[in-house]
Amino acid sequence: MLKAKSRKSRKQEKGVALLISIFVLLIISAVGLAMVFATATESSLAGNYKLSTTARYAAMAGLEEARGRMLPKSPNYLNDAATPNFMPATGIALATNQVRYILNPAPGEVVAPTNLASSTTYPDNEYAAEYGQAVTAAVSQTKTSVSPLNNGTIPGPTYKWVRITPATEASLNIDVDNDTNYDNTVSLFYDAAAATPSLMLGVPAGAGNPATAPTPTAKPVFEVTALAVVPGGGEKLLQYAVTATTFNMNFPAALSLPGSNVAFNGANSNQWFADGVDGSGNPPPVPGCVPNQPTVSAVGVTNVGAVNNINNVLGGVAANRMDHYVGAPIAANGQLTSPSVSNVTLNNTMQTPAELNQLVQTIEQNADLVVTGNATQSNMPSQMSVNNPMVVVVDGNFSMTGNYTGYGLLVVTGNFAYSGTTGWKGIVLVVGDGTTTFLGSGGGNNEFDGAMMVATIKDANGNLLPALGPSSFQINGGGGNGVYYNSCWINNAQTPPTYKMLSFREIQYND
Amino acid sequence: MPNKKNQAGFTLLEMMVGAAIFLVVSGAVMALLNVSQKRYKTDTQVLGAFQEARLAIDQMTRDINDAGYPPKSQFLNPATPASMYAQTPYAWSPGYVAQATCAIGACTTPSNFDLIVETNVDNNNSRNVSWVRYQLLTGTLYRGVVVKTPGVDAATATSQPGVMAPYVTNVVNNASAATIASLNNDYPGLFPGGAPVPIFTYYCDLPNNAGVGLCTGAGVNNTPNNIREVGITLIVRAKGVDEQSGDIRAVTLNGMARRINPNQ
Repeated sequence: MLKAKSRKSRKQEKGVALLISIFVLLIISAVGLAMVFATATESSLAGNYKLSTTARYAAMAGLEEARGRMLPKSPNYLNDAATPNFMPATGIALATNQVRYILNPAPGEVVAPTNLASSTTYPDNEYAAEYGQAVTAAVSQTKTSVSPLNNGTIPGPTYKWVRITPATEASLNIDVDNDTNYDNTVSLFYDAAAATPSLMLGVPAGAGNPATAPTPTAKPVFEVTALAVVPGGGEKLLQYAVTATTFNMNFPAALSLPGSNVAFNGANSNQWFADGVDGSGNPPPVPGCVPNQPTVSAVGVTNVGAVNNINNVLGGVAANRMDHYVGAPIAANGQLTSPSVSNVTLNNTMQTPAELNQLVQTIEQNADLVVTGNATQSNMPSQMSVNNPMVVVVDGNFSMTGNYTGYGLLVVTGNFAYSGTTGWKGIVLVVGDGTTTFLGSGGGNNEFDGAMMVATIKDANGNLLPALGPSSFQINGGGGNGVYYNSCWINNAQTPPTYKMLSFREIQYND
Repeated sequence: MPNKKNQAGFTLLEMMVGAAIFLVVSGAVMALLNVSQKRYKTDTQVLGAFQEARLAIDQMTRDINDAGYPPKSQFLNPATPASMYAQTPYAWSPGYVAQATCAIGACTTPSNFDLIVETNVDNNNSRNVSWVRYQLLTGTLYRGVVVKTPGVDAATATSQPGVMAPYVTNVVNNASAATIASLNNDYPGLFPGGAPVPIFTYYCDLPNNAGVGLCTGAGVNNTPNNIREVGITLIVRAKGVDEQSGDIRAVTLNGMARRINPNQ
């Protein structure tokens, strides 16, 4: 022992300086590390708050993208050649087993909400919670996001998917009709035109729940749900209930001629009819829509003062053509009335010149095309088709000739004339000045399906009248070109200017 | 064979010099450590307050975002129990039962330090609407949730024993004049004019869809029904004082929450 120690030279014992240095360094490092950790804690605290906010805005971006792309007018409308049946026609609800997704994967990422087996591809387990069945049991269609930022250097919103589904009582967890039954098979509708706008069950009249049948101006409610997951773990699942806002037009007759004095000259043609039965005539079908609204009058008038417009109309119908005006009221034995010419009450947004003028302005603001001055069918948009009804306002007289069919909502603020095989599927609203004239010179076999209204809202000088003025409705010559009531086309013509958000909520996401 | 020279230890002088150097160095390190520890302690307290306040702002934002869910328009039958829908995004007091509204500024709630959100907070499990109240009482922000009972004043219902629970402590938005003066000394401009800073600032829908403006502005629809955005300012202080300077350490958090549900 002593011997071993003796071998050490004094020089070797100088290592104690190193030990002291190491000890001091250790203490300094410990202090430094503590400071670094303190800063790191602060950073992660700030990070959590940031993630939560980022995720919320990302999910909102998803909701808004879907809400925008649900509009037929959107340049990125969800229905295109690849997915023609992504969204139903205006006024039609998605079937309750249908589900639609817009996917927004990051580069190189897979987003598969219907793959419930994988927790890394953002499965949609919320669907089962809302609809009582796994999303794999539903019929789904998908599209991808069009966020323009994704193609550039700036990353787009980091939401993962947006789901569009028909809203039901069970999915919203709301007992709309207060019957304690949370129905999951009936789409909900919303009637913005009602005195107290509210959701209602979309059971058609006569299907067992007449008290809550959707009104003619009710539109289906969609549920839009967006999931956002941002790198680092911020997650948000947000949900809108949305419904289409439309012009809320509804018609009490196939041909409405409200006003102070109607000059009527009915067609002599044996092919011309005015028919108040929903879906009568030979209209092109609106996909997913069955015309099942109650029968309306063939011709509706409003009596003002001493003038009896019913007599005016009947006086203009040849005795052997009285049976060409069929419609409400329906007799007890199911027989339709003929001639069906009645006093009617118009929609509460279409009763006075001021209201009609306001309606025309609203339509004009949301029109696909506004033609200033007189127009013919050559001025109509070429994209207009049976699958793409449009909103057109002609600020002047309109005449169509030859072989032409228009689709959608046509507003004419002057006189209207047609000849040949011409017709319109949708709504024709002729609201002119002086004596608004509708002049038909038949010869063809086309039809006006939907509803038509001719009224005078201004005097000859263009001043708004206090009450609807006189109008003239004349059909000459032979041919068809009759007017047939069609609730499907009335709805389809009113392409929504926007989808209105009815409610919003945040949901817990479980992957 | 031991070499006597090799066995020699340190001389006394060497030992004293060595010990002196060691003392000086470790003294400096200890002093640094002491400062760091004090700082760390204060910072931890500040961070604790900060975190508490952040979580609170996040929760408040979420509640306000969902305010007014589900709206009455979701129900067809007017006989639907009012406990199922939100009659208003924000309940008010006084006079809530009678459905007569009050003007922001004149209401007891919503006010600068008091807000009651009417919403379905737990919409997956419960179908009832709740009242969520945030109220600042002497330095502590309380939060309370109670299931809505139609016909009962929301402020009364949330004031029942056991409803309101401490949520954020050491909130100094409406601290005493002395504390505010002391804080303003250390953080100039933290309390403009030396006055308490409202936790809630309300922005209402302007008439004719003209956007939103301060609810207390002239010509504004200044009722609780019309509150669209709520600005949240939380000023929290650390539990103790800064051990080095003896000052109060405080942090300010700002948040903005927007009600997304439509007007009732």
